[in-house]
Amino acid sequence: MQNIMRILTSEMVFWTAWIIIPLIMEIIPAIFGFLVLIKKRLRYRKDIELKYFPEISVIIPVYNSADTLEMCVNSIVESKYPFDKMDILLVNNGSKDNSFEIFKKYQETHKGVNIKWMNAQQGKSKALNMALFNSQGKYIIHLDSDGIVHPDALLNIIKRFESNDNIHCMTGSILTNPEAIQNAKPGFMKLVQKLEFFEYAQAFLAGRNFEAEWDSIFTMSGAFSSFRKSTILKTQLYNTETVCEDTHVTFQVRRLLKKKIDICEKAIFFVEPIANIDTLYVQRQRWQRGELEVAHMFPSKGGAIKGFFTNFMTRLIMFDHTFAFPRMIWYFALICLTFMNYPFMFIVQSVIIIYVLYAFSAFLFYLNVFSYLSWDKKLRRFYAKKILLIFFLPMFNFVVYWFRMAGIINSIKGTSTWKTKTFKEECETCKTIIKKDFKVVIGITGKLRGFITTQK
Amino acid sequence: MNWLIIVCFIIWLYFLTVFHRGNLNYFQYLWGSVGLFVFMCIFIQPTLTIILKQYVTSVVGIIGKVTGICEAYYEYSIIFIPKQSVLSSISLYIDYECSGVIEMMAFVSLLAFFQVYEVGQRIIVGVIGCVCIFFFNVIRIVIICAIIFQFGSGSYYVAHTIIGRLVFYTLSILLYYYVFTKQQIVKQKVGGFSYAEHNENTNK
Repeated sequence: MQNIMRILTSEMVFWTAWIIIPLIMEIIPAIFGFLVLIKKRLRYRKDIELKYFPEISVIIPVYNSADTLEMCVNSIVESKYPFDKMDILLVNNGSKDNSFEIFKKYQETHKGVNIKWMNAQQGKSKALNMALFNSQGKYIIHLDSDGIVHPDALLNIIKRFESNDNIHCMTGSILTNPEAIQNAKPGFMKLVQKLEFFEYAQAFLAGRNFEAEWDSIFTMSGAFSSFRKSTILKTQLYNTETVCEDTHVTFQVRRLLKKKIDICEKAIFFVEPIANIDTLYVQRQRWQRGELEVAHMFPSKGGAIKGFFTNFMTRLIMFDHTFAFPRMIWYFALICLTFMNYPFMFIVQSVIIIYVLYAFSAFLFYLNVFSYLSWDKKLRRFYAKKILLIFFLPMFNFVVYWFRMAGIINSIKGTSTWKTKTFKEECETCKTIIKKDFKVVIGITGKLRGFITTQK
Repeated sequence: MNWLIIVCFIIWLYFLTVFHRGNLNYFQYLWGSVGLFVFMCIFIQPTLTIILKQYVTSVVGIIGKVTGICEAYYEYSIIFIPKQSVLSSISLYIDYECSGVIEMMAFVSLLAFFQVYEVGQRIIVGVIGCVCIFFFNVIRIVIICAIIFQFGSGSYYVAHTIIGRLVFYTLSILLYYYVFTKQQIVKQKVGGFSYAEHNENTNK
């Protein structure tokens, strides 16, 4: 027995050496987050039932949205919030398709619905700003045109506002559409879509829910966010420069107005699942760049150590940016170490242990999300069935890590004429250059051969 | 074997030019950093390890002499902790893992293709960074020696595997934060930027 213990202890030393950093930086915070969310769930206070329905303005920026616009507006009108208490503003920002025709048809067939069309300059921020000035409701709700709201979403969000005077802005929860995932063709992309759903559920119902406890929500989702009109009009409105105007406005409310930002976990907006890996590649780069831009526009005060303990922005940037660099090189260093006579088996064992720990933290958040979906049994059932995805999620996050790393590096050289490429386009560029070089080499070889033959 | 490495090196250089000509910044960074790290492991690491081992041992020895916690034999890269209040004495051998050579090479590789800095700046920051990593490593070893000196050889594993590693990691992250993160955020461009057409327009 003593012998076994000695062997185990000596092996533990090697494992500990490799897993200590991910354990402290990721797993322990995940356990802490799990406990905080359980506490929040137990303390949950039901929102009041509305005695009257305040007027709300629903703003939907429209940009080539003909395919999805009707579905989106329908979901709003058919939701449980009375449609005679809402005005819907469709703000066109440079559409080239027949979105306007869709609107016209909708207006003709739904006489009782208060729906308006506006033309703004190109750019989502400009469209949102224009609509803000033309909105009349007590509450402003921003929705994207490519998704649908849950029937309870608008009602739940207004209930939350009316129950809490100190909440001035709220983000809704974004999930990918379960029906679209179910109807997708079986195969690799379907698995990716399921993982994306799982990731969104954890990011909003666990991640942002946790952040809300410390008033540190980094961004209100641009796809579904809500404001008291009196609050949003006191900001500098949406910034037209950055790629992450939603994050920018979140920081304005928190930093400039010093108001609390919350999440309404019972207000869900369903977006379409990702169509292909290329979309994911570009999307995650954009998010990463947005984070860096906002960090640039709202610099954190104080040094790194103080900032890490007192400022969530510094912490976030460290996790997403600083740690990404050593992490990248250490993946390859692990391989190099095996050639330098480092015990390979210990590295493999450590990697497996770390993977299991990541799956374990995904399981903890799975439990959290499960508890927060209790109000919608159908959705909860759909989510519950995905439990095995906890074993795939670390792999998905690993891939996403490389996409975000691309976002970090590609953000450095952005100029006015620069544009990210999809992964496919990048590979095509490589191929073209290599082909061109190959032709040059063939040309030179041919000339040399010709020269030698002539000499002979 | 050598010719194989040379062929790999030429292929590495060639693809670096391909990514550079194609303005594929991410590919260039990834390929460049990882390749440079691997080639440094092959070409520079063996020599650098010997030098670093001796320097680290010497500097730790100086601190050990002043504080009385250890003695250094830099010719053999050995640190001897003679006087302990709890258990018998212990010798620490400084090998490539303890020399800080891998951490320095990792830092240099990541910095070499980090285009937030101009080439000249990268050289200066690289030198300063390596000096910092060297001293972080010295601090780590001194802390390990101090713990062993105080609590005996039984505390070696905790000191070396957990405390020493955490101290070194924390200091390294601070360095990375100021070199990579802070500088990129300060110089981050905002606006005048577009992304490839894709099917979604939602933000998470």
